[in-house]
This record gives sequence, C-alpha cells and structure tokens, in this order.
Amino acid sequence: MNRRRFIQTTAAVGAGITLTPKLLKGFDEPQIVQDDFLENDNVVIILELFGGNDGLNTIIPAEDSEYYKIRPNIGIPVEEAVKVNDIYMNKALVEDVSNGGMKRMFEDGRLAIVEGIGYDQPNLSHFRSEDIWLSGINPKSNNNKKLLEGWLGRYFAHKLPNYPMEIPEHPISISIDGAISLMFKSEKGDMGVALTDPDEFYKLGAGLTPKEDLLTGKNYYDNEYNFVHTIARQSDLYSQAVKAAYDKGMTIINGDLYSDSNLSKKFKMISALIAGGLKTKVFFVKLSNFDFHAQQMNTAFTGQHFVLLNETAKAISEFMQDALENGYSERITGMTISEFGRRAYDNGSRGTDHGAASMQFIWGHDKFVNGGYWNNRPNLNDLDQYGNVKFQTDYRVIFTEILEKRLGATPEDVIKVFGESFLPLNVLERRVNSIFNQNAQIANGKILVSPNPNSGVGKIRFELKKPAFVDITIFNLNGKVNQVIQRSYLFEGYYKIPFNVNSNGTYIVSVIADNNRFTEKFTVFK
Amino acid sequence: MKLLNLLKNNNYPSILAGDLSEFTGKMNKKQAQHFLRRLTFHPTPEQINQIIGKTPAEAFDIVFGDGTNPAPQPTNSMNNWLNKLEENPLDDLPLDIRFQIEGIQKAHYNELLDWWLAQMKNSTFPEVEKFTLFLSTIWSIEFTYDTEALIPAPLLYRNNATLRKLRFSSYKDIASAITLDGAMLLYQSLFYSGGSAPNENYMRELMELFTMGIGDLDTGAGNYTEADIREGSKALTGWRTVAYLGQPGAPANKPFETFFVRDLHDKGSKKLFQFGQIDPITDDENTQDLVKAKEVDGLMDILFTERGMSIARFISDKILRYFCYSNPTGSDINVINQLAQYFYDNNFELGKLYKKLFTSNFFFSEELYGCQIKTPPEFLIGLQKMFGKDLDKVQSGKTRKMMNTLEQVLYDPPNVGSWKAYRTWINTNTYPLRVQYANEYLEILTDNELIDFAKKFEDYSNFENLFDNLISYFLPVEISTERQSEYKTILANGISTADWATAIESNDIKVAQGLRNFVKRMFATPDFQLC
Repeated sequence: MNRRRFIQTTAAVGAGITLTPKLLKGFDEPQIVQDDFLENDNVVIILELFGGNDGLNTIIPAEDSEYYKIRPNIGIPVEEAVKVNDIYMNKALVEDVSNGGMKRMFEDGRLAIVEGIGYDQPNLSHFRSEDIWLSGINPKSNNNKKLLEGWLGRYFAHKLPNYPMEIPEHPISISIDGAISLMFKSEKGDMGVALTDPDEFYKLGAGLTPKEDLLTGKNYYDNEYNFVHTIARQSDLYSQAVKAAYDKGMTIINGDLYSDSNLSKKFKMISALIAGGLKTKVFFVKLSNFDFHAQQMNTAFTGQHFVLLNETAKAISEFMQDALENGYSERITGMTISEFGRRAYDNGSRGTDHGAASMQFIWGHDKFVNGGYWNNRPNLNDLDQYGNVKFQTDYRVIFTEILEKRLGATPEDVIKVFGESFLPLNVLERRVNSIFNQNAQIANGKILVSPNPNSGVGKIRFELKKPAFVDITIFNLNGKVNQVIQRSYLFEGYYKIPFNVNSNGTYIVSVIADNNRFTEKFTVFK
Repeated sequence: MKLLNLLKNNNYPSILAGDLSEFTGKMNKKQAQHFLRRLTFHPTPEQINQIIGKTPAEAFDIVFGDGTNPAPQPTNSMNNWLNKLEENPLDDLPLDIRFQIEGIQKAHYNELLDWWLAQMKNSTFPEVEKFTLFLSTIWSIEFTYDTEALIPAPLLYRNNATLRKLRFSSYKDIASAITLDGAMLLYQSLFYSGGSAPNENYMRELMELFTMGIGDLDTGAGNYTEADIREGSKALTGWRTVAYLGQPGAPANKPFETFFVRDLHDKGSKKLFQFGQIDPITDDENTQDLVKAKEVDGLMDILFTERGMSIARFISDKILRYFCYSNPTGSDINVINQLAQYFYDNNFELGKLYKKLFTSNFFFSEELYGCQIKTPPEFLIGLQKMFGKDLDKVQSGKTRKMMNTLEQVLYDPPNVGSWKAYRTWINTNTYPLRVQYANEYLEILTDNELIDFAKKFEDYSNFENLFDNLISYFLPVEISTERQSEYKTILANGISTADWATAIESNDIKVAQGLRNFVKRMFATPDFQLC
C-alpha cells in the first residue's frame, strides 16, 4: 500500500477545515493516524436476507400481548420460543444448530441483535428498498432515481484514487453470486469481483495476461492498448490469487463442521479463502425467499421461515466455529441485512406483507463485538400508518460502524460515502492495526462523562496528547445530532468540557480529534 | 494488502491536427479498414475489398447510402403485437394479472432486441444500424424506466423506426420528432404534464443531455436557467400517447399514436432566453396540428436559433467521441469548433456532418487508428461479421444475453445520461467474458468454415499475403516484427511457405488447426479489443 500518498491526500482534506500552518510550528509533522484499511486484516461478511425477513418472528416479543392480538395466525407462543437472557428467539435459530447456535453466541457476547433498523419514509418495493440499503442512499421523495453506486463501492473508490490503474493485490470484495452486488459498484467501475466457484473463476481468468509487451508510446492507441493489457492482467492475477487461496484454505479448514445447505457451502468457501490467505475485505452472500405472503408458518410452528432461519443460524454458527478453530475469529465481523421487515399484522394467509423497520444480527469475536440486545423493543402500539414497525436507528448507522471500526474510514470519509454524517452505535469495538494505537491522539483512547448517569449537566473529560482539530458533538440514540459542543483547534492537555442536556434519555458523546472518533454513552435522568 | 501499480504511463495527448479539409486520395487497405471499422460494427472481408481504391467521398456514399433503402420488416411474431395494446399493469390490477402483463411486455421487449441485433448482424451497405444506435445512445430510453413500470415494446419499436428514418436528417427535426415520441413521452414524464402542472423533467433533459449541455463546451457560459426550463415545459403540455388498453381519454383505433389533449395545454405565452417568444394562442388555435407547429417545432426553432452554436458543439463532441476517439482533451475544442461551425452552417444536417468528418484528413490522421475500445456490439456483432456465422441460429437470444452481460442492455441504459462507454466497457468481469465468448464462438466454427473464411482474402494461397491480410483484419494497427514472427509460426502450423498453397487448396486439417490457434491467439491480444 502506498501509504505516503494516502497520508498526503487525507492531510490535505483535514487542513481545509482547520488551522494556519504556524500553529503547528514546534510540533512534529502532523501524523494522520487513522487505520490503514488496506493493511489491517479485518474481514466483513454481509449476509443479505432477501425478500424481507420477518423480525417479529425472529426475535419474538413474547411478553407483549399486542403481538398475539395482531398475529392471531402466526404468532409464536412463548413455549415455542427459546428464551435467552430476557429475549425470545425463534427456535430455528437454536435447535438442531451445532454449538448451541445463536443462543450460545448471544450468551457469549459474540452476537448483537439490533432492533428497529430502517430508514425514514420506507419504500415497500423489494427491489427499491434493496437498492436503498445497498447504495446507502435514501432518496426519499425522488424515488424513481436509479441508484447506481453502492456504499462500499463509493468508499473503496474514494480510498483507491488510482483505481483501476493501481489495484489491490487481491479482490477488495467478493460477491458470492453470479454478478457483482450493487453494494460494490462505483463510478470507477466494479470494486471487486463476483464468483460462485473458485475453480470456474480460475478457468475464466487464468492465462489472460497478454503474452505481448506493454507499449511504450504515448499516443491514443498505445494508451488504450495498455489499458486493456492492464485489465487483462488484473483478471489473471485475481483468478490465480483466488484459486491459490482456495486450494490452500481447503486443506486448512475443518470442512466437517458444515451442513449441506447452499448457504453453509458458501460460508465454507469463504472460510477457505480467508484461511488460505486471501486478503479480501468484504464478502457478500445473499439468501433469498424471505418474502412470505403466505404459508410462512405451518401449524406445528414449522414452515419456510423456520427453514431459512435455521439455515442462516447453521451457516453462521458453523463458520464461526471453524474461524475459532483456525485462529482467525478475531478478524471476522458479520452482519445480516434485509430490505425491510414484515407488516406487524399477519395477513390471514398464514403470512405477512411488506413492512418497514426490522432487526439485524451482528456477530464476531466477543472482544470486538458488544453482544446483546440493542435499542428498544418494537413498539406494537405505535405503528406507522400502514401498520409497520417504526425505525429507531438508520441502517447507515450500522454501516458507519463497519466503515469506521473495520475498514479504516474517518468521519469525513463517511460523509463522502453517505452524503451525511451518522454516529456509530458502539455495537462494534474498534479493531485496527498497531499504527493506530501507537499514535492515538486521546490518551488510552478513552473519553469519560461524569457524572454518569447525570441530571443533564456534566463534564466531558479526555486528555489530548497532541494539538488537533476537535469536534465534540452529542448525539441521541438514533444517531441524530442533539447538540454541537465544540468545533475548534485545541492544544494538547487535559480537558473537562461542560455540557447541558434538556431531556431524559440515553445519549452518546462523540469526540473527533483529527478525524479519529471516540465515543462514550451516558444517561440523563432528571 | 499491497497495491499493484500496473500502468504508470497515463498521459493523454490531444488531437493536434484538426484538418477538416477533404482527403481526396484513393484509400489503401489500411485506410479502408479504418473507415469501415468506425462506420460499421466490423466489415466483412468482401466489404473491405469493395472500398479499397475508392476515395472517402465515394466510399461514404456507398456505406452511408442515400436514405432510399426500405426500412427493415418486423418478424411475423412481432406483427402480432406491434399494434396490440395491453392494460396498464399499474392500474390496481390483481397481482397475478399484473405479473402476466409485465411478462408479456418483457417477452416482446426481448423479441424487439433480438430483431434489432439481427438487423445489425445482417446489415450490408448501406450501414444503417450503427448510426441508429448512435442516436439511441443520445436519446436514451429505459425499458424499465421507473423502478416499477415498463415502457410497452411497441412504443420502443416506433422510437427505433423514427431514429432509423431520421439518421441523416437535421438534428432539429430529430429533436421535434423525439419530443413527441410515445416512448419518450412516457419515459420523461410529458405523458403526465398538464397546463396547471407542467412537468419539467423532459425540458431539462432535452437541453442538458439531448441538445446543448448545461454550459457551452467552448465558452463555458451557462446555456439556460431554471426559468427557461419552466417556460419551455409550458409549451410542451398536453401531449399523450395511446400506451394502454382502456386508457382514459385515448382516441379509438390509434394504438401507440401520440395525441393532443387541448384542455391540458397551457395556452399562455412562453418566453425563453433573450429573444425566444411563443405568443399566447386562442381556443381556435389550440389544436394538435397548430400547437405542434407553433409550440413544439417553435420551441425547437428557439433552441436552435438562440443556442445554435452550443448545440452544434455539443453534438459534434458526441460524434467525435462515438466515432473517432472517446476521450478528447481540452485542446481538441479546435476540432469540435470546426465541426460545429460546419454543422451549424448546414442546418444541423447529420448526413452532411458525417460526410465532412469521415472524408476529412483529420479522420485519417495517424493518431486516430485503433484508439477506440470496442463497444459491446462492436465486439459481439463484429465477431459474427468477421466469420459470418450467426450465434442466434445456434442458440436463440444468445447475442442479446451476451450484450447484457457485457453491460450494454439496449433500450435500458443505466439512466437518462446513457452508458458511460469508453473504458467502462472493459473491466475484470467483462474482459474475461469477452475472451470466453470469442473462444466459445470459435469452437462452433468447423474446420471447413475456418478455411472458407481464409479463402475470402485475396491471394490466400500465398502464405505471406494471407498472413498480412489476417493480421490487419483482426488488429487495427501494425504490430512489431517480433509479434509477426510469433504469429506466423502459429498460423503456419508446421506447413512450409512453399507447401502452403497446396495445403490450403486441399483443405488440409493442419491449415484449419493453424487458423484456429492463430485466431484464438488474436482473441487474447489487447489490440483485438480496439478498433
């Protein structure tokens, strides 16, 4: 990775907002210390449950009598659910799944369940809502505009300024599918590759490096010839890298762990690619058929929805066991996405219609995932005009977590990707390489709020180790700005900055020092 | 993870010599091939022989034709639906009925594309389809135009016929015709535009994308204001097309025809730019014919009078990119300005502009040879032109499906701004597919077909001659002597030059093998992707 160029680029962006050069005199050259996303070894796995997963029958509000009133035909009784701590899981997530399935993951703190994920003015078309999720753009009123770029595509294109002339040595992303997901498309082209079978992928690309030399002239023809030559060589290199990693990985992983379903096979392939040394950052997998307008549940609390949830739980659970045995589980962060949840009411055909907000699974290693149940229970007494669960947290809050805490994005990068700013929820702990930690601007990477809980008045405390432009903002839990406390240049030193919040609730304070974000949650109780 | 820097040299020269004076000499083989690579999807060996020794002006008349050739006939199956209305699937129909109608529309759309691709494959001189496709890439229409709705295929067929018919015409006439084209009315919302609420969607795209651009290409001056968009939109109120069965207010027995609804037209005055004025009309004047003449054609008069040079530059730039080089640099404005002036002085006649450009010394300047990346049809149609075997006869719809995976779905570009084209055609997904498709195609060619192909070249029994002809047929620019000797070895396949004539005349299997390996190698060279 060409780090020098990266630093220059980012420094230039930072300098735009802040200070005159003279303030820096006497200090070392400013170092931009954010995580270098190409060098860290994080792997993100995104599993799309396409069709609209029924969140209310996945994590069951069994203690809410309203649930049984509005779902007379497909409400899952408490005795058919699996109680874990104080939530009730669909039994398909647990039963017949090795290692205790999602129950065990949740108890171990390796699984976060984030409730109320969605977006403003939800669109109930599968394809439109899927595009909104994959693009990271919510066009709201302008709802006929085609969405042509994905949130990760835009991010990778932003981070790789010379793409495709300068490309990562391994595919930056892989869609386990026939075509590249919209998520990875960008104005610079496809940021990644699609494959379903490493051997087929190898056959398609192997040997494509032209036997002819590059041309040395500078006229139009030479330029275009060299462009095609470059793309041909890339295709070849990627096919070899994927094949080599797969063949090696298959000898390393524990293939016996996996079930027979297509989804488990896909996760097995991903495991082999990771274990075999492929440095791909993001894998995308899609499981379809969650669109249950009818017969999502049969009388004995079985049926299609149960089958798909069971397949999902098995694949995730088996994969994480394999990752643990092979020593790379710390590197993994997985999340499910789904274009929407289902209508809160059942539709009388033992099914549900298209809904809005729903829940998401986020899993990984307990050191880096804050497992547990996030956000409030779905409020079935406060549905939207169509009878759908309202969203609590914008889906891009979770994407921001992935970008900032796994893929080395700065808050400014996040704005470039989404066109607006979102605050991470803290479902993930930052996992970065050592460069980041050594250079952290804030002592111990910690900020404190005292007292906590407080009556709306308190102090934000942190130690700035080096002069920096500092942005201190308080957000409420759905990621929206409550108030900006300070945006200015600060010298090194110990700070205690007062704040005043009006209403009861849980808030998050975010301190950004030269593009690195630190957060702390606090509660106001008057 | 490391970054691999695969290509450092990335400086773009500009076209320095913009000499539009006529090239009056007779074309040699290289010039004839360059001419045909750009004016067709790819020439056959016979077509090259037909053009060699002619001047560009003579060749242009042959290749371009005089516009009297009849329009291609639709297939029998298409005749069953070209005039048949279906219900609007979005009209609160039961879901299964809606899906059924959408399925029918999709099937008809595919038939239409297969038909258009067949015209491209089967076209002889005059070459009609490349110029039709060029217009279609400017006047974008998306079959899946809304995230929900589809444009009925009969409307797309009519749009295609209009573009084909007007491919030489004045660009102003094209603008008038497509403004009232049924598919465009639906696509860009004039279908929903009425006096009390003029829809601005089309007027904006008409100026931004289809005619002049936001700013003038040379001076950079803004071409229009939001007020101009609003005023122009008022002139275009009241137009509808018969798109659906049972459509309220539609005239009977006029399927897929555009019609005028006088109550929905804004009769007030409209003022655009500095001098563009459309006077208010009376109730008596508020008729289809008069409003079309006075307000639709009148609006085009205003655009082409008030912003004539901006339009001429904008379209000249598009032609330059499509037919000459896709990435002109700033200093190429010199060529664009010369083309634009000629276009402007000649009443925006496309035929005249094409002739000026394709017979110019500029067009034959050394730097333009081989510098275009083949578009998906230049690659796929070109492949079938080269060897003369139709893939769709092997597997129906095959060309269309390959076009889709190579990322040019006809009548369904990514957005109203059309395909990005140029280098976006080639990436780590589409490049391997191009090579794979070419190799699959080679596999279905029999040994005898390959030898017959070689025999289309003059002096094929002379190895050196055949080799030179084949190389210049497949690759657009001369290659190094090292490459030549390597390819010669492959083609000869152990046959000595002296024995070549006997071997090829007797259809020796070794000749076929050599040809096959040679062609396969051509498919894997970077320059095979260029034209």
